[in-house]
Amino acid sequence: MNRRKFIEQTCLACMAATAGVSILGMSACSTTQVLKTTSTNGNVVIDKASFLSEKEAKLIRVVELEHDILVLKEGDSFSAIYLQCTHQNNPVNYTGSGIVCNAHGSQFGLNGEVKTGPASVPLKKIPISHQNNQLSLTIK
Amino acid sequence: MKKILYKLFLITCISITINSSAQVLTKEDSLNAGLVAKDVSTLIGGYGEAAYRNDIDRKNASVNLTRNVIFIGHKFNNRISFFSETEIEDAKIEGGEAGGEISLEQAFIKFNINRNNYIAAGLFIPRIGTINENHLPTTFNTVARPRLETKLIPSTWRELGLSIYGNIPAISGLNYSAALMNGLNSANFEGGKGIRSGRFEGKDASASNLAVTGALLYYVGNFRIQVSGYYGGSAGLSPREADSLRLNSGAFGTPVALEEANIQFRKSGFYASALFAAIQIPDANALNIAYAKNVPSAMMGYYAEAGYNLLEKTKYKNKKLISFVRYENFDLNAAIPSNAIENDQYKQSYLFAGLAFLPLPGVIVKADFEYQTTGEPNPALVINPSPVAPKYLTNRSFVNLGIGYSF
Repeated sequence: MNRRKFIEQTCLACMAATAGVSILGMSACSTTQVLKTTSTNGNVVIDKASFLSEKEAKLIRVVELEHDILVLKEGDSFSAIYLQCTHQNNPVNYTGSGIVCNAHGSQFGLNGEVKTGPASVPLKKIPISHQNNQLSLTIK
Repeated sequence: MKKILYKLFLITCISITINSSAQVLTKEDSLNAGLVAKDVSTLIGGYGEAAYRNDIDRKNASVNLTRNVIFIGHKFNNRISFFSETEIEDAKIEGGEAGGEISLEQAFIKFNINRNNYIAAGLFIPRIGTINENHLPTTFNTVARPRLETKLIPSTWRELGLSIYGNIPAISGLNYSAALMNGLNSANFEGGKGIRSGRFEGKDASASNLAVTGALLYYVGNFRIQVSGYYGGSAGLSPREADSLRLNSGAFGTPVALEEANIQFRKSGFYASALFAAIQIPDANALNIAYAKNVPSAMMGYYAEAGYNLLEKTKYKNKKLISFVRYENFDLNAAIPSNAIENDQYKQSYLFAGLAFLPLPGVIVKADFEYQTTGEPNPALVINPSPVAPKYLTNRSFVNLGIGYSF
């Protein structure tokens, strides 16, 4: 194999793979809205009205915290999970159907339960209460 | 007096605690320490595995503490952390004896750019294949790591450099990584051994040649899809030395390329995965002239695995008993230059079937049956045949038992 042919083949293979993933990405493209906020006396308050659908996910970015909080709404109930892996404290990502840690491959369900190790402890759940039109997350 | 001394002792203890500059957290402690991050903390973890291997055809068996690894991480502040893994292989290292190794698997400083992106600088493991980055024994079912991800992708492959990791917020589940690191040392490449012995692993690496690597990792529905690539120089020599060996020097001289793609699917206790990898060494001809090691110009292979958690629909759902089967097939001389000798012994396939039991996510007990097939070795490559060497077996069977842990 000469050098030109080798480089051509390698580039083609990489482009094909990238295109494949891009097409898959576009076909299932979805974005989770991020709300940036701060805490007051260990509480984070967010507006219920910011959730527009029956089933919705939002990332809450609190300045004082190292990682985001995932808030899930399903009907009238809300739950909140801290997006820090319980294995080695790396950030975990919400994928739509679950939560994954890219550092070591741990996978979690939407309740924070461990689906696949190496993590052995569920993700931290954050106490959440709602009054009138507001949700209150207790982070301390 | 006793009471005063006791109070003094208590006050001293409290002062020491308050003034401690670092807090050591176990995994459970870190969960209970509250969410508002401590400025400074140290985290300790680890993993390890031991294996029993019975060679049915040769009628002998061995047992080994394959590795024990201690993880130490330290957070300097919310933006900068340190990660390290120190490994002891084969339990014991003695002067002058073969086997055993102490090495650093990782040692890097992590700089958070923002919540979606970070940089790792130091000795890190690039995202190539699945086992290289996620090599804990609780994450794969066979007693030993997949053969392809040992012989073709040389896990655990770590080098010195700079790497950026992150996710793309516009597409949930899409992650990327890209790295610049030192290249390989082709002087140590050898036919049938892949590129494994060309790794520097952080020890006196040549920085005259470089490598770039990148990966896209996408979680969509029940799938995990990854593609990765590597391209790097392998002649870490001065131009004068390289010229004398007729090799191309420079950052990407005498290149090695690797392409890999894998896919995993998980649903309701069912699990399936497949991985493909290929390596090209376009200047293999020149390497064989320089070093006479029978280096191939291409290697490639694949594996596929399927498994099911037999406890998925029982009351023991928090435990796992996975029955699985895996087939691996690779050729370590898929293409050879005109000055190399083909060896069918390097065309290998492995069939595994077994059980893996996880009483909890951090502990695994494994048992598998392994059926190995290779081609006949090329007698032209046996320079001094031993008169007492046992006949080479192209088909061999093994029973493997193992334990693994990570915390």
